[in-house]
Amino acid sequence: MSKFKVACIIDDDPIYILTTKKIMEQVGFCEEIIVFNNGRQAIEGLSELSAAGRQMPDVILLDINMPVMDGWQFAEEYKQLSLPCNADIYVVSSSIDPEDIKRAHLTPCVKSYLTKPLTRSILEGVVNEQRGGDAGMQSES
Amino acid sequence: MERERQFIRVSAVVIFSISFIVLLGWIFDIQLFESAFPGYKGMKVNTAICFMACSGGVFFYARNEVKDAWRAHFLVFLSVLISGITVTEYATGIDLYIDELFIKDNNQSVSNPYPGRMAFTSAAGFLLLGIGLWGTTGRKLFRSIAQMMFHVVTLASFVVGTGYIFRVPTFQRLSFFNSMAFHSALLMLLLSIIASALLPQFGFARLFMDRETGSVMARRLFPIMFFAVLALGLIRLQTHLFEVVTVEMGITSYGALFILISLLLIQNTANRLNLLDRKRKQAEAELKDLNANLESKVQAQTKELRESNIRNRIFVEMAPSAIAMFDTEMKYIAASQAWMEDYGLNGQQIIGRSHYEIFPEIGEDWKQIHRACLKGAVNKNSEAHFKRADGTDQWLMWDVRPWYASENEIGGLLMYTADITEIKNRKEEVKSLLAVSVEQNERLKNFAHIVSHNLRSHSGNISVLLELFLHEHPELATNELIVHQLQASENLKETIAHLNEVVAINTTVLDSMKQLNLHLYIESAMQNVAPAAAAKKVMINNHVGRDVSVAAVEAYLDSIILNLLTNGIKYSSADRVSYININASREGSYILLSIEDNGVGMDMKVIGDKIFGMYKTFHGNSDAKGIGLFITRNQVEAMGGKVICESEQNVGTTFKIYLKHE
Repeated sequence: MSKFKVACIIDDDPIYILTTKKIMEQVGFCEEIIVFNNGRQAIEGLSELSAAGRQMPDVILLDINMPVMDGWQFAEEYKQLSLPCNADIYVVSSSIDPEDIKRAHLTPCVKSYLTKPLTRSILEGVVNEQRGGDAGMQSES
Repeated sequence: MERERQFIRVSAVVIFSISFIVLLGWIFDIQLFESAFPGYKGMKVNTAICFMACSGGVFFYARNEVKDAWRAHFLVFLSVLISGITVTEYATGIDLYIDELFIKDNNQSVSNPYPGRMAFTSAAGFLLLGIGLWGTTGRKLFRSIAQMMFHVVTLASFVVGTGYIFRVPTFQRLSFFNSMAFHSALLMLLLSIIASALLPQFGFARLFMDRETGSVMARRLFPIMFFAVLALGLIRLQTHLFEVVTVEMGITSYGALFILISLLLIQNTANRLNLLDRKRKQAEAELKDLNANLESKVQAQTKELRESNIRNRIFVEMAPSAIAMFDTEMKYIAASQAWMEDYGLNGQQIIGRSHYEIFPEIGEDWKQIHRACLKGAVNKNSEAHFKRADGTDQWLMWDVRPWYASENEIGGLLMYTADITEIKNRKEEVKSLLAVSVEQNERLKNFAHIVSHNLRSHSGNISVLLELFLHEHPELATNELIVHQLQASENLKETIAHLNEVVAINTTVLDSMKQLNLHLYIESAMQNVAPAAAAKKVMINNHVGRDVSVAAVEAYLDSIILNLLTNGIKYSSADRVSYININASREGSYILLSIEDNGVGMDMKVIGDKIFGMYKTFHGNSDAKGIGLFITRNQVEAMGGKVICESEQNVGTTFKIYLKHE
């Protein structure tokens, strides 16, 4: 039972990408997964998808610390692209700095802040939130 | 002055009135009015007219107003005209028809050869008076001459009047062609006197009208003398006429009486003068006394001032800081020893010399400050920079203010300076040190953040990888290597969590400080550790008063108490009945929380402050991680408190935690 059609992972850590993909498959998170290794790639990739008229992601899992273009910059540019996509952005980071959490909640399009490691239960929570629409998602390992 | 004017005006009116009555007598032919004494010569019409004109003239002159002067001039002109023509008639023998111009004179007699013509004496008198009156408004020379003319008239009319009194018939003629009437003579006398009074600064008038002592005396003496002589003369004549005494006797007694009266007068005057002199001397003495008094007062004040100046000087010189006292010209009055040393003036004579002479490098800015202060301003600066002549930097704290010689008089300046170069340099040093440590602290924090963040992502990856691995290979869950792998991963996560906790402290503590009830927090912690305490048979006693509160962060206070209680239980001694006593007391602005146990204790000589270090464990306990006390100390210090540990091997340990009271 796939809850999302297309999920997008933007992260530079291959182990995280691998494990997250695996957990997504296990919990039936989505039908298709798109991966970008930094913000710049993601902006360009999403623009191309949009231009080709392809299916845009429903949900984006966004890392903060990335080379070339970090998560914050991505969020800023993503907003200005005004792509025909209505994705919920989840900021996913190892940082437990309250400043980062505060900033994430103040950034437009960002739905919530999730702390790594991203476990099965957290992703299930995201799915449930999508389904229920309201259950607050704030996780701590 | 006004009294004299009054006298002149009243007299003028009197003269005018009498002569007017005489004129009426002539018009209505009343004999009594023409001659005051029946059988005596009467006053002529022209004489009466001249009297009226002259008295009117004097009246107006006495008013001292410009427009009145012209009226006066005219009236006097009238008199001069009539008298001038009459005098001409006498002199030439020609009848100019002035005598009976106005009214006919019916008195034909030997003694009246020219009917209606006024006496020559009168005519001459009016001529002199008239010309003199004109002169009163002229220059000084004219006025002086006018006064002499008045005096001549006074004398003449006096002589005529006296002749009447003494009944000397020859006097009436006075070797002239004919003579004045008696009342004419009196009126002429009065008229000439008031004319004289118009010029108080000239002739005899001055003698009688002056305010000086001599004049006062003359005024007193003259009338008495005058009447005495007249009276004596009259008596002498009467006695002679009635042949009461012989001529010799008469003259002798006249002389004797005159001398007697003079003597009395002189005595009286002398007494008066003496009295005046005494009064003057007394006044002088009083003045002298007053002056002497004043002088001694001034001397006393000067002395006092000098003494207070000396006191000030001693005070300034003995002052332990750099103080100097200046007069209003910026000359040194005094300077303290510290001043001499601070400004390198030792061995120099500076008292009495100008500040600007000693320090020629002093600029206009300073001179302006000095000037302002000399006008009453107070100037100060707590940090002023100077470049000394030798190029070194000097920092001064200074204060310049006026000192007051008396309540309103500024006596000069007081200058106080302190060399704070040393302090200033120290301050700068401390400031730069602080900046360095702040920067280091910041870098350390960043470092800790990055380390903890990176560690977290790796450990997170490891734990998720393990989880997925076990999910795919559930049969390996009991594999010893995998089990240890899981344990290692868990430990790593925990260590990183602690590390994060330490990093998180110090960031936003002060905002979240609250007033918390210490007793309740201890109770809650005791409940948390109750199972562990029971297992180790440790008795925990909360002796903290129910009303004791501290300013703290909730989570920190919880964590601190919990950590210390856990420690106390963990290191309890198996050899005795274990207890933990918790007390609180007030220490200044702190609450001292002491947690005392009778556990295994530590040798503080060996351990010292390292007990609060990170990852230090001092017991063989397998679950000692060495992070708890480190976090505790960080939390206490982040809340503005401190923590001390007292311990003795095998006796027990006491933690003393100082927390802000409010």
